[in-house]
Amino acid sequence: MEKGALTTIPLNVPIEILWGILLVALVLFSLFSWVLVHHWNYYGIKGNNRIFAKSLYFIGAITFIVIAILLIGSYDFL
Amino acid sequence: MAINLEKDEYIIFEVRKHWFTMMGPAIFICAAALLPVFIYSIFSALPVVIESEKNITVLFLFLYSIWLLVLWVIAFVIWTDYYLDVWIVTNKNLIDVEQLGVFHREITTTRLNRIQDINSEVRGMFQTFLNFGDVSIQNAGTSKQFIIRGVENPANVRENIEKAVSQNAQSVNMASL
Repeated sequence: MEKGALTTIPLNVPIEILWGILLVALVLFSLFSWVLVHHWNYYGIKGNNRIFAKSLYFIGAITFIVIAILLIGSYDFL
Repeated sequence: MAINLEKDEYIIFEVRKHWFTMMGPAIFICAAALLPVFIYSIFSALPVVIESEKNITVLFLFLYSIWLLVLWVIAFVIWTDYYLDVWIVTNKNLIDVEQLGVFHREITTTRLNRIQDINSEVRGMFQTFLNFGDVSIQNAGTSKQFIIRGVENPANVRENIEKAVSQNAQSVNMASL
């Protein structure tokens, strides 16, 4: 569709699709987290390195997940 | 710990890769993290209007946060791969642990008394200035070569392995007397 020189693209993504994407991401995240934590625990990442790696990994990941959930929550309203 | 040592075996030292070997993947992750911002800014400059009842910026930010989550996990997979790639030198064996992705791990053990040649190699500008390179070991009786790439101070690693080999030979000689 043309509006003067501008091209208009209709895009309406239902909120359910966003929840679906988040769900798939969470399932994959859980799987990889389990594998990573298993490697860190079982294959000898030592003491403080393990605690630091786990903390950094989960704090970062949970931050992104919380941001994604908040954005879905505001998708219909903003 | 997934490495089983013999009864009177102990670890002398471990050899890991230099941090610089992580630079390539780190640059890739950073570039991949910035890619959506770059695409978004190009798209914003185009004479295109997206018509939607929803907030498109929120949709973009949502997809971006998922993208960052994926990259975050990939970064830790790469780091784990880097960290778990190690040579363990014990008083009896050299254990080569190769982590090839998250679902593939190879452990090869060679007796110290079977080690024939140890070579260290530093190639190129970055390796010379940052003092890292490759160490390779030729095993007696097999064509297989042990190679660890990008280790810190390879000459020192070679000397330490040579020391471990000669100490092992001395202890074998003492035991046989």
